[in-house]
Amino acid sequence: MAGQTSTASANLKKKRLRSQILVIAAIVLVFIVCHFITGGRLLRTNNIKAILTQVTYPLMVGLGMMFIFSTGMIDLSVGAQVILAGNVGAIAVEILGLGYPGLIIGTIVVMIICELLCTSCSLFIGIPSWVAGLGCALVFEALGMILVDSQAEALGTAIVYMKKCNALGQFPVIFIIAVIVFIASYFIFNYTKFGFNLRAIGGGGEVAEAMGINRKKTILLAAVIGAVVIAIGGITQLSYTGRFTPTSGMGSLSGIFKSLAVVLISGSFSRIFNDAVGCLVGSFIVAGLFNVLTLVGVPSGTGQDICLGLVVMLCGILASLRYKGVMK
Amino acid sequence: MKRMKKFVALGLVLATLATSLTACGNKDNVPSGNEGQSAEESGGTPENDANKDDAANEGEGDSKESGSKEDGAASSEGAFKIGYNYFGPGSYALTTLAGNQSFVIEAFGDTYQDISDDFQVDKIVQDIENLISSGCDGIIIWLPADNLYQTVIDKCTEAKIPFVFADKVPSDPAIKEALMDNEYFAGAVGPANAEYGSLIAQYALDQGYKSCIISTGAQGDPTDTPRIEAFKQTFEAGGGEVKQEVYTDSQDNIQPYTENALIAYPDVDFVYGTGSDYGIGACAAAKNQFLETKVLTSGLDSGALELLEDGTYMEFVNGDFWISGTMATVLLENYLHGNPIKDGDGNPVWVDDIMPFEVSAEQFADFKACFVDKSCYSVEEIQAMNGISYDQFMDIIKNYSLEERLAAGK
Amino acid sequence: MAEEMLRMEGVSKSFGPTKANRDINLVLNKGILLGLAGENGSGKSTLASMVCGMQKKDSGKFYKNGLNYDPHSPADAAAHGVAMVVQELGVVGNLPGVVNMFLGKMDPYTKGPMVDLKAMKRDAKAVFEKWNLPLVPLDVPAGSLSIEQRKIMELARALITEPDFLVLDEISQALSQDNRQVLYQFIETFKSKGRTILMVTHDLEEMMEISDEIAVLRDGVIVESRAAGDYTMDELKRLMIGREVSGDYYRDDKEERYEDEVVLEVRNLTVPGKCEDISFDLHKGEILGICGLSDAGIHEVGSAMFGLEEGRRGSIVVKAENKELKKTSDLIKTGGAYLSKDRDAHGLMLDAGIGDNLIVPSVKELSGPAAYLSPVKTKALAQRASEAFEIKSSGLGHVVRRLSGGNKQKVNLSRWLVKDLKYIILDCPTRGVDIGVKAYIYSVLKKAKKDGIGVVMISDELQEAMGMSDRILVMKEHRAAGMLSRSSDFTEDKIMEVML
Repeated sequence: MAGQTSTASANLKKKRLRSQILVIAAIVLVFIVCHFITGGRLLRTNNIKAILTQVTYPLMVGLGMMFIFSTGMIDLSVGAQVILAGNVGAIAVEILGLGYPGLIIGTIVVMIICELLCTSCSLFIGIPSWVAGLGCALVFEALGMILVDSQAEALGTAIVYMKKCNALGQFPVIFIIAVIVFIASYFIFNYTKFGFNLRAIGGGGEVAEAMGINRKKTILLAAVIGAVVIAIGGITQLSYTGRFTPTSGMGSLSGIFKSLAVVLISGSFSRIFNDAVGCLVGSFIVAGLFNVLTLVGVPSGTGQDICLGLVVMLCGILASLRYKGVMK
Repeated sequence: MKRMKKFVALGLVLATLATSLTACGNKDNVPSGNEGQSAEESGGTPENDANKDDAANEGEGDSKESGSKEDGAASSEGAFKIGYNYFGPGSYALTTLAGNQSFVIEAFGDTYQDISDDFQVDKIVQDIENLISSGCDGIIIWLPADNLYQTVIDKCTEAKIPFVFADKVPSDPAIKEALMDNEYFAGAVGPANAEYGSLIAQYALDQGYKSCIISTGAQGDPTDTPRIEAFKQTFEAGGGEVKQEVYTDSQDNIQPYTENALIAYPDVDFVYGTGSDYGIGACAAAKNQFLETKVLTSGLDSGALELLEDGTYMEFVNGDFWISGTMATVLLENYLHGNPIKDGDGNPVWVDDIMPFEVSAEQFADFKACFVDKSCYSVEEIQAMNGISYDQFMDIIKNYSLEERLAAGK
Repeated sequence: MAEEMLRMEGVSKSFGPTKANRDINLVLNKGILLGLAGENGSGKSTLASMVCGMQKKDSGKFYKNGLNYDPHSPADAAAHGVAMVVQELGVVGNLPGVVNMFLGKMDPYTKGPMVDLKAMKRDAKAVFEKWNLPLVPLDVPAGSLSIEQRKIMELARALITEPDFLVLDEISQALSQDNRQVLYQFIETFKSKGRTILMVTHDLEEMMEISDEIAVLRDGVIVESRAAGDYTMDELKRLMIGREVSGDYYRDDKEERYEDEVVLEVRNLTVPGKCEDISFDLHKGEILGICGLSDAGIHEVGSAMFGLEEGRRGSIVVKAENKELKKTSDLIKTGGAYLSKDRDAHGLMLDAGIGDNLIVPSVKELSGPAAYLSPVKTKALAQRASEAFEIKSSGLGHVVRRLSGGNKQKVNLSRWLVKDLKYIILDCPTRGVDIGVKAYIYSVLKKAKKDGIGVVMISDELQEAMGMSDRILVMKEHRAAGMLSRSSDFTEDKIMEVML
């Protein structure tokens, strides 16, 4: 049986590797085909730079969500949190003149507080995490508006434009930051005790607790790490676009819909890639898709969203093809 | 320890709840004396005003005493509570429009209650109902959907609440005709929205520009759509070509989406941003792509004007600084203060053609001092509009221009 | 005199008004296996989980090696040398086997922020080797392993901490014949080192065979505890149930009896790598047993017949209608039913009430105009099934997850048997149920046979297959190795000969 086991295990590994190569090859092939469809514009240097820049935000927010969602906490207030935290960072730069330290510390600290507040509501009171998330989203959105509104007069605009401290949003700095965040997230998620513990909690909370894992501590730690990763994404995005627009009525969800799509795609590919790599693949699919569709003139807002929805479903279908379930 | 955690958790919920209540509450600067006053009580019609005056003279201490109003001066206490809806936060245009309205209300010595539509057109009817229920004496309505006008008109009429339309006016002639006979309708003031687009198109043609990208908000946006249509009509008639229209669901995506379009069409002569947010995003996108594409935009945002002053990308900015909000509020205030402004035939004011003006880089400093740093109409000027006639009102609108305001400011 | 390992003194535990354990006094000596017998709901699992630190006792004391022992968590129990393989726990499906084995025990393998997976894998393999357990794939997500592999992995996981006291709750029920032998060998080795096992099993034959002592629990109270050899089977059953269980619960006839009419014709059924070229006829009123060693492919025959296996070849024809079964819905449309071995994963809606679970297979029949489901009709059906199968619960709204294993299986079975069935495929129908429920299920099968229903009964238990079947299809290495008849071939030796 030992021999059979190692063969079965090796076969499974081989199959997984084959699937991974196939998916990546398929994505590369699609990019090459699209390059010709777009009249050779897709793989031009400036467009590659644009794609690599636009990959960063969905990737980092997706990775942060991966940490939070993996524990079973479906927190949909992330978008509102990043708007609030980003605006605090921008105010620290523009109004308080605190420069990069203000931007980084302000954004990260506020993001951590918000995420811990939301997670705690679910963890200690027992509210379902998605309910706590939606409730907190409304609160954070409102706080974001109040905060920006209070500064609007000083700034002469309805939003806080961050005109300084833009270096973190410039290529290649933004991409290098994203790569570092990805590598760090990958190792934390896949090769550390904490990573295994949080996945154990997400996969079977009772088993994990019985094995001596402190569930609450792990979930809170996941919230902090997730918040830091998302905050870094927020900081670079703020440096890139110069703004996070406060919104209300759950409008903040639209700000993270690409990141949610990344997480969905990652989930679809969970049998092929581990979650962190799935996020990377997903963010390239999402950013590449929007870029290609714009290049070929598909209207944004309608046509592009339809395509994204179809791609998310297609990824799920492709990843499920020939899945045999229980192995012997 | 467990109990401690529960207390902490309870504290968290209470903190969240308290913040929610604070955050979710609408801005309402109504003095306590006005609270709970129903629409019927406060009336709002000239007849009711008269009754109020009588009551005040009898020394009953009603907070809506309007003795001073007859002198055309603002009361030190808020006598009328005026409600208005605004589409949502975060947009300079919408915020300025709302700010102009608040400024006029306060200048008249009244109070206001605003309510956000959360960017949902369908919520506007509900918001108007809520304003009526909360006891507003008059309502300034911003409504970008023709099919909903009759509904809100009926709501206000049934509640006997005076109302005006600001920034958006009904396009259906039948509705306009019916409104002329509605005793609660105080008037409508809107900009020549389409002119924004056609003026920019004309400017581009004058510069010899042949191709462009349009960067705008979500598809079907009621403000941007007529601008785009008018722009395309003029620009294409003059031989220009629109290479791509970039619709952006979230304002934070303006830059990346416009950047993608600029990669697709790097040779376009300019980007037309239908609002200042789109213009600013287009400048950042062009900068990121190391292009020299020019940006033309509608919307007198200080951010856009600073870029205009810089001159690298932003080349043309126009707008009217959303004074339709100012003037519509003046109409409502006059109505509430016993001076419904009507033409010779007894029809309320109907303006739908406030023209935008261009601000050049050289004019930026003056414009900022006159429009951004303070209100373009002073408190005294607004107060002087109390009790004006139809012709005087129309003259104010007709004379409104950058030069006129700068001169008045000096 | 034997040395004492664990002593329980006056241990009690209640869940609301339900007294799960009352004043338990028990002593387990070193180097023995104590079997804990009792019906479903008698409090066996509660007692085992208190010993493991999964639940706290309300009163009483545990002493381990003479010292007060009061575990507040499984990790604490492990630190005191107590490990477990219990029914309620399982594995974390999304994590590889090796990570599952070291969950909560990774500190020795932590190098800085990283975990040394290679060292963990090496040590995991060493555990399998040390105790002669069949190695299971450790690199793949545990959720993709079979139940049997998962149980073996759980056993290895329990042994990582080198416990001297092991709690095994219903482990053998998930194992096939050959792996049961592996388990028995392991138990002997474990005991020979002076270590102790507390074992819960519903297989009374097994309990009598491998236990040194047996304690019987009834309604939360220990009613008897003595050496295993001092019990007779009938006495044990009587003590468990509290009344006399007359005779054997298997069939008492020695002849295969069924009608000539073929209900189901299976020809060349093949699922590559799982079962090859299986052919048989199932007759009206026949119970056809399917047996084999682990990995022989017996369970896959059931799931392939139901249409769950991809790449299935061959034909399965319902003769009365001459309809070929191609997908799962075909089976239901032709008056068939299928019960999976893993009832929690593939059978029941665990978080729904009993009533909802009971009516699900009959929704089509119950539907009125515009697919309206009359609450009166659905409740009546659920009530009928619940009463007919004596499901112990607080009512039809009782959440299935909170039922005992036996009652879960009753729900699983009854919802099909209230329908007008022509044939039924049962995969390990008595897995995890007690003697009372087992006897009940066998009586139901006898009645089904009498009513002319064809039954395919896949079983890991030879006694069960021999006791209930008219014929047994024995499988070996994914193929049919022989078809044995009740009248001539039903001896354990003969069947094992074909299996091996």
